[in-house]
Amino acid sequence: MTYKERILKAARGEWADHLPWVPRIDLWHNSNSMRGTLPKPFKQDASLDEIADYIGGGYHKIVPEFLKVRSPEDNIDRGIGVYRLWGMAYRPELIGVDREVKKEGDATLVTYHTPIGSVSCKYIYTEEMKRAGASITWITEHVIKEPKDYKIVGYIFKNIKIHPDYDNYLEFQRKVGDKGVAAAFANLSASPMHHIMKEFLDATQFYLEMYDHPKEMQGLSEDMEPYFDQIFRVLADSPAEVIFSGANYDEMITYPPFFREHIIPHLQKLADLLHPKGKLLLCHCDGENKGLLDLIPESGMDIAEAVCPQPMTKVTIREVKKAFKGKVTIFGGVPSVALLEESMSDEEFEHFMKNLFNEIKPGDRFILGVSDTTPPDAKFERLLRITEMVQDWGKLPMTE
Amino acid sequence: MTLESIKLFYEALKNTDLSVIERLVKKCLDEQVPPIDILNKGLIQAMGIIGQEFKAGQIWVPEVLLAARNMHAGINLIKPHLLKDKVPSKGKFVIGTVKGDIHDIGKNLVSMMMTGAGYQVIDLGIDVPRESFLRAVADEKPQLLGLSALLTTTMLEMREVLISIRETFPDPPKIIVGGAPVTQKFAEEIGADGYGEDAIAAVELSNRLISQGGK
Ligand code: B12
Repeated sequence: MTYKERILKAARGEWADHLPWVPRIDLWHNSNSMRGTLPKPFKQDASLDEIADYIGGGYHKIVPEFLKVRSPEDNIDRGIGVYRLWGMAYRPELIGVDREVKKEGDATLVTYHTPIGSVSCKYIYTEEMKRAGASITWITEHVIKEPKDYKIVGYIFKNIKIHPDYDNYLEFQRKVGDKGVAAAFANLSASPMHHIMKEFLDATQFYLEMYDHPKEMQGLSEDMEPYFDQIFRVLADSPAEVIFSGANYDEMITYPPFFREHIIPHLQKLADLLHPKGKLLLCHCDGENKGLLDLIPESGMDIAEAVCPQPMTKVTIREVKKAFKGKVTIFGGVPSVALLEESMSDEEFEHFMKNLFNEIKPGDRFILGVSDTTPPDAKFERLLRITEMVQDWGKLPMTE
Repeated sequence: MTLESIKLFYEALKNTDLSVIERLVKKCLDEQVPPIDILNKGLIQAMGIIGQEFKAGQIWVPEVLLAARNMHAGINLIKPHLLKDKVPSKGKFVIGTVKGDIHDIGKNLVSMMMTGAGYQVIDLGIDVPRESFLRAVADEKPQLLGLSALLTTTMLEMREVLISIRETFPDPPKIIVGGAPVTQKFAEEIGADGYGEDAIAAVELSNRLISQGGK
């Protein structure tokens, strides 16, 4: 069975031959190549896939590379959460909007001029962030600053045209081959309201704005519906097997009533488009999932990626499995701190992993991964050790 | 102050209309209620209930932020009176997310709850370099310093800040730490004065440290 087949079987709730092990190493790779600290036997210019081959798991091809762009156009609209990255299956076009771009040191300032007014935003990528391996720029000035901005941003989104870009996706799929599943990216947000929260306002300000300008917010959310609908339709017709929509579900940030009202309906809508075509819905569930566990299986999600257990969160894999009732595949399980010597000694790590394998048993609906990604200072041997463990204990169904 | 009036404060803190709490505080001042009672027996008590509701999972982040903002408005109205009466603030609290780290949701919650509990909060923001913490401690002379970190990499920066502060100031503030990867064990290892699991624990911890004699 190839890695791709194994992952897809686990994702569909069928039995694979072996527990799939799919470590995410992008942040670790970025940071260590940058610092010149890739471990032996790698050359300092070793590629991510070369290292993944050496580790011996599948390729983690879920989260797009936000910073590796072909031209500035690819991520110039990062400030409004709109991307045209390599490997994506759709391409957004801004219509009736003039974009003005200014560079100021580490910062990029983008102003959008529309017939009804202008809005601007600023994002940065510093040396510090580069060294830390950060995979995405940071918004320092959000696009919504005053109540009047809601309408203008709404105008931008109402007028975005989504084009299929299947050749771009197929190139990605071909490159991944049978080493993994190339997920087709929808958005980092699952819905318009989630998008407003993640991209348009400062995280804390968002909650207060819900009280201060509920009508404006609701209006914007409605203006953004066509954008999401178009993306959902284009992705449902795409050649991808797995669609990634929405990231970071956290009981504090996307608290249960918010999740129920503003996230579940859109996940369901997408799942209803995907399932008849045999496609699967994946979400990047990194965050504290405790208060959301019972809601996740209602959402139509097939794969909960980056599920992170104790000690980094309050949940255990056993609890997550119980709550998911065999309806959702868990992708994750190894919290990033388990790979750090400062956090766990070698013995603690061994003990932790043994216990994790026990909780995973019998191993249905499970893809072993790092949640959410291997940290820059991870002890590399531990990834290799997990490969060994998977070889020794991961034959499905896992019994002893 | 009666139970009935705590209820009024509680409802005012939950109201989306800022003027409700302002009217209530003004009314109390007009009725010659001592400002310190408005603060301790009204606002802080009411915020305490909200904190408990949050802890129990009955309300969520937006309600807490709203209450904290209302609380802030209330405190601003009584502040001139407290100063006039020479009522000392409960203590000064400087907080920031350490260098290299841009996570701020948790830190903001801690700031808000600390303000709600009657502390004077100076929030240095995110990605705060060591020098800025040193400068703030020199300028503000806080009783408490809070460090937040969400990354295992930046967690180590906490230790550096802590060492610098203690090396620079003969009478340093109590240093408390928190953030998802931080544990009690780590806090003890780096010699912090305390660890708070969440914003409510941060307040309880600060109260305890202050009652033990502040700095
Ligand atoms: C939201 C989020 C983000 C948002 C941040 C938005 C913002 N404005 O803050 C974004 C998307 C920008 C982001 C970016 C990144 N993130 Co992030 N993020 C999270 C996430 C999902 C939730 C954090 C959060 O806000 N929680 C809610 C708040 C309320 O909880 P809290 O912060 O823990 O705070 C509470 C307590 O800890 C405590 N507390 C907090 N501070 C203090 C201080 C004191 C003094 C006290 C007493 C108490 C206290 O009280 C708070 C209130 O109850 C976590 C997942 C997780 N498990 O935590 C990952 C997580 C923290 N992120 C992570 C990573 C790796 C990153 C990135 C490096 C990713 C990347 N590829 O670029 C970048 C970092 C960039 C940087 N240099 O900082 C990792 C860190 C791994 C590690 N251990 O090092 C996590 C744990 C995800 C994971 N499972 O791997 N992230």
